[in-house]
Amino acid sequence: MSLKSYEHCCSSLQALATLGKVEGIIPLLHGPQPCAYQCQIGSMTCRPSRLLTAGTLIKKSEVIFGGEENLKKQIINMYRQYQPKIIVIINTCVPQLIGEDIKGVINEVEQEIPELKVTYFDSGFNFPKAMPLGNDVAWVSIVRVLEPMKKVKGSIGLVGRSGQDAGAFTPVDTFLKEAGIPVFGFPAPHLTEMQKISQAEILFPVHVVPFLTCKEISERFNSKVEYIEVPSGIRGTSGFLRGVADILKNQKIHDLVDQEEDNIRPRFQAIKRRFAEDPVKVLIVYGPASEFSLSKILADFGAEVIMVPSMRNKFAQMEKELQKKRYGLTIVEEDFDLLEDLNEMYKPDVIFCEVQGRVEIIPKLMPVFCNMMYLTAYGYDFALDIGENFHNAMKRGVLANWKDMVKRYGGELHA
Amino acid sequence: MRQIAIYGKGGIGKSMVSSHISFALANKGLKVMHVGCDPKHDSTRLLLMGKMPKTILDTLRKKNFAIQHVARDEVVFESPLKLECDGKIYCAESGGPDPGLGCGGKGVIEAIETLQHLNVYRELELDVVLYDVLGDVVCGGFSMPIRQGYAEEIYIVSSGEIEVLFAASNICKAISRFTSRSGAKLGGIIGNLRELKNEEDILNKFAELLGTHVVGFIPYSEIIKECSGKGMTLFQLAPHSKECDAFQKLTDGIWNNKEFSVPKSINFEDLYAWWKKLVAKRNA
Repeated sequence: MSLKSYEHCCSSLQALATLGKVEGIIPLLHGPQPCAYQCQIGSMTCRPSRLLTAGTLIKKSEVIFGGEENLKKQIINMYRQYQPKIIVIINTCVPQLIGEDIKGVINEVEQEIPELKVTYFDSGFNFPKAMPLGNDVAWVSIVRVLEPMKKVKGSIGLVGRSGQDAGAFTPVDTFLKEAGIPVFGFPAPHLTEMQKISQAEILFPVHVVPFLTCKEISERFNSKVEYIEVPSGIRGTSGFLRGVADILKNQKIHDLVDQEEDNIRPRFQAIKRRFAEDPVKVLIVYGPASEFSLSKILADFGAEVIMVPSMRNKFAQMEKELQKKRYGLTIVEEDFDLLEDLNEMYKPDVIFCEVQGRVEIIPKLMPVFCNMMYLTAYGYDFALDIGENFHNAMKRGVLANWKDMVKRYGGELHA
Repeated sequence: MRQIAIYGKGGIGKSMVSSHISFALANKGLKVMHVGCDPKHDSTRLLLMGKMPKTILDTLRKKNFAIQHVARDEVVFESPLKLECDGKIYCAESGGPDPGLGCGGKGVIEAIETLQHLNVYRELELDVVLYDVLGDVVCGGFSMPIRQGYAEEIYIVSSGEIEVLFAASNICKAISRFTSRSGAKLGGIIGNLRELKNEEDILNKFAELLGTHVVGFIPYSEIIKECSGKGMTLFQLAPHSKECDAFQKLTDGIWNNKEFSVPKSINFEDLYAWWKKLVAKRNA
């Protein structure tokens, strides 16, 4: 049996990164020290952040005798120190294995501190092949403790994936708001904002990740869920907005999209010409599901895209079908050993590989497309910006400098 | 040094049987170590005159699992019954979590590893180590004495009831799984009778089915039940009783046993069909 690299990273990390950036929420990692360490390191490589990684740091003693008391003490300790509104227990593999009664602990704590809400979800081996699921299950745990608010007639909810999606809906919701539609975004940077998602009548996921979140919101607050597509890239953004317009029977959105498409057409055509003159084959390997949005952006411009998806939920299946049909995308579903193997197989010009989950060294210097702004990959402007700068960015002096160094000091072109 | 593990369904009388075996072995002049591998830590009680010893895991817990700070006399206790027998009996209890908490299996692993770490078996120059293991082999921890070559001989305590036989068959599955790794083999069945009709015959035939034999029978007796209440073995309570004689014979059977096998296991449906047929024949 060969070593497969698909099992890249634990969903705990993504959950921690997701929850740790929302005001009023403290994620509490219930697990042994290596889990905490991996999450801490992972969150540092993820992006510049100062995440509060609180954990129970389960030791052998707790594995044998039970760690519930320790967990309870830590929750109370966290509350006394930081007064969060919600503590989310990220329940890792070890306490799941020994059958810790997390619900029981939560009940006890909530009786002692009625103003505190505590929720939890099981991470780790429950979601072995998709780190981005950490986002989804983290939000599900939050939705469980939100209080319902009165529905706003004709309103919609945009449901994104991680904490960084909070406030990133502007490229999309600007059109919707201009068309007079009350829009609530989820997630949001503040709990009070997030609460408002219960007011939305219809939920429109803007990414493939929040399948479970949408299900939970829908069941808890009686909202309808309509998956259209990820609003990224030129056609993707238009497709999403027009989809919303059709469902809401709102001609104003169509008009606004027509207008915007006219505005951006010259820039879009110029980018397409550039990609036609200098063709690009891109390999996009899983990140926090950003492969689903970046693939659309680049395929729109005419790049040949090979995509390795990180998600397998219902939304991801729908999005894959859409992208295959619209762009003729190559989608790699098989596990693989090394990124280098994919590189050998597809021989791309550029690789996008989100490395927060797993660090792999390709023993060749490949132009690597690092999109640190991937979490705002929605809308027209971001797509145009990528398109206009793509070729220049790929030809930056790094490669030339690297080659010089290799020439001067010897060795091969190893990155 | 021989290492023996006693398994069997929960409540079948493993601790009672194994503590008598330990005593009888010591009575032969052997140095015996009796290791209770059950979180409820009552296996050695009869050998310690009714006292429950401090467990290995409680000691480890107090020392933050810093095994290097654990001394042998904190986890191994000599039986005061030594005056009545020629050999010596040392007792250790793994202990474990309170019911419903933590992982008892991991506890057993840690406890046995602690004894290994302390080099107890060599330093005490033991002749026999006897492990009394919690009821069913519910997880990897409880198969620890079978795995990794700790126990070379396994004996299963069983009565003729179908549930007990099925548990015994399941234990055989664990033995056959680990035998190639550890070399542990089944030494036989210990019949702990419950007054079923033709129970000895059922057990003999069951042993045959598994590819083993019955190494001895302990009769159903009120006097054995008294042992528990009085915190002593039959060797103290009724040394001349026929029950005490049965334990002595059982121990001789184990000590002189040369028949070890890799047992078969039977699924419940097949076992039940076999058992029903046997009982029907008996009733006819």
